[in-house]
Amino acid sequence: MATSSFIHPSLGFILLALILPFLPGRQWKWLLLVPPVVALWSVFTVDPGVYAVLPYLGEQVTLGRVDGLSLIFAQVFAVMSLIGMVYALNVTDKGQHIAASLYVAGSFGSVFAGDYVSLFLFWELMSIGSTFLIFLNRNRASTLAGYRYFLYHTVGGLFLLGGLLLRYQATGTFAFDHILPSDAAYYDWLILAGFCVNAAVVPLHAWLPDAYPRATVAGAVFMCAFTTKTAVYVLARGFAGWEILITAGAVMAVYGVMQAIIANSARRVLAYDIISQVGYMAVGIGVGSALTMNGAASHAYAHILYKSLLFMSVGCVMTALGTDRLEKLGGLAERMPWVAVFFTVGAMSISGMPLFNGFVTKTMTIAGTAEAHFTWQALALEVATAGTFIAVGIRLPYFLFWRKRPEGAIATPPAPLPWNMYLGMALAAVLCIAQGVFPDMLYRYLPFPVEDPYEPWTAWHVLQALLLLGFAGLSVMLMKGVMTIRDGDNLDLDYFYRLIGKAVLALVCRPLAWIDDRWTEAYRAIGLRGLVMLGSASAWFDKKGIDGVVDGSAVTVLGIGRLGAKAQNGNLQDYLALAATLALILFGLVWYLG
Amino acid sequence: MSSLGAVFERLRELHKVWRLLFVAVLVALVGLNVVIRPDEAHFGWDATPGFFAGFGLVVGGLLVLIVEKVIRPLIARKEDFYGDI
Repeated sequence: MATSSFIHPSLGFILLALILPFLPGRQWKWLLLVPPVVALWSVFTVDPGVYAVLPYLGEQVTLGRVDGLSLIFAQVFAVMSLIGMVYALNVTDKGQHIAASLYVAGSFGSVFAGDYVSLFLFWELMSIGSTFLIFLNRNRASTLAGYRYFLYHTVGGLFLLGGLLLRYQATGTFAFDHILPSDAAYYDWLILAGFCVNAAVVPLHAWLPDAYPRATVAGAVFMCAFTTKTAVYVLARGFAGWEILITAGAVMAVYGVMQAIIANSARRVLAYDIISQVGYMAVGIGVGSALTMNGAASHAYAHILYKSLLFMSVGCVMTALGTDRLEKLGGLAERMPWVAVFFTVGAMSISGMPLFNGFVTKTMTIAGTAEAHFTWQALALEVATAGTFIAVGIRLPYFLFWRKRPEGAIATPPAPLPWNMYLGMALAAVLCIAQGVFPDMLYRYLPFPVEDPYEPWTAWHVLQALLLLGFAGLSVMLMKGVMTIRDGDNLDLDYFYRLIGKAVLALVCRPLAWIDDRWTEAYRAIGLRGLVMLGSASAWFDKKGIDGVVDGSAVTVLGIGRLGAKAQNGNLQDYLALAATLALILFGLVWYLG
Repeated sequence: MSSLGAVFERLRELHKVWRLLFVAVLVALVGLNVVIRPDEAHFGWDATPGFFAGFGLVVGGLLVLIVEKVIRPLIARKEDFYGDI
């Protein structure tokens, strides 16, 4: 039954984004903490139900579908928004806070959306907000990466839009519910493709390791938490039991760690490992049993905490030393010891080490997948577990913190870090350990009831994890000389996207250039003569009568022209901000007038 | 340097001790695996003592070898490989 007692968590973040530009001084920074606190209160006190059903464009849109599945994602989003805002308190650039707020609002909106119309609107809000978190790093590389990121997400959004409109045409409803694999129509595949872009399903993943390492320090912390996990939520909501996701997830899990093991910048290692970890969730959703669905949801929860902790730690290194390139870093354990401690907590968590939260969530998905007899996919997840430990549990902390500072590495003392960055990391680290030691903290919120609940803390599960991780570690020790750091980057499948882009450009440009050449010739031969005659006639007419009338309007036109010139400055970021603002105004007008 | 930093520096100097300790723990884990086994084998062979030790060692070694020696030489490029696109 619809009631009005649900405070939608997006509301606070949107309000914050709207008022922030007008607040003077610097004390507005404390306001950043208000929307996360309201969101926490809202998601931990709300009763399941359907809230905020509103008429829009002649349809009913549901902004507040609150049930077990949406709540567990909303809870971790609320926790993460608080951690992220604490970590970002020292950031003076209001633009970053506005972008982050709109982005988080989009995530909450997507999670509580009960229909495709509101889902799409919030989905696009996320896309715009996150794009600005890349642009606002304010360098050439981030501008280009932001543009590519926006292109990928626009394509993904168009898949979703096409799918939902065609679905509406066929079924007469925008309701966003589970789709049985046996009932799948072509439009459902389009929607799935749209979701898979955001989930970074290989081969649609290349935007992630391209963009995240180029976002702002705090922006990457937000981005690593929300985009892919919102996609995991919508996949769990709409596409549970779609077996294609099992294989796709297994490929993601292994591909991600293979790239992570050889990546040369810390944030790129972490970015590739997101693909790997989301792979576990995709497998869990594809299997679709209560155990694996709970595994996917709980792993998303744990992943948000430990991955944000890792991004925060690397963000501290970047803030203190100005880079995350591994060849320029090393020996930081004694120079930034607390950052090393927090990083280690994140690294142990992501590896699934007992006592840390990855252990109680990752193993649930693998056990459920094996129990459902998807043996090879479960084995692939075990391979990815070993690979994750090698990439993030050993290689990254070794090159950043534990090796002696190599020649050529930055020797200057790290710049001091503000207290709030430490507090943000401490909050995430405490939760990573608490959930690992007391898994019921997390399990009590799992959305699907199971007959035989998963028990992570058995002697065998602990021993299995220690054996797998310990001997994977031994393999690295035996091959220490093989693992290296180099200048440069490694190619990914965006190499092929770019080839396609170049081919399309050539296909469009060549005919256009030909037409342009011909037109110029024709213009020279015919047009100019005609224009000269027209010009003489106009001059006569102008002198005789128009001068007086036109002078006044010329001033107006000049003014408009100047305004237009200001707006048309060639900066894609500004066009996007203008378009987003206009879209929000239109959205509001349609709502109000409709 | 902070006191915690000094502790870490000292721990780094003891890396040989750590290595020995690590190997000793691994041996103990394999020993434990003789008595602690899974109730039910998921993959067929995983109830055999030492399976996950061998799996971790072989898979870890192969992963590192394949990506470092085969894949990396194929895909490594300069940082500005794509230029301004």
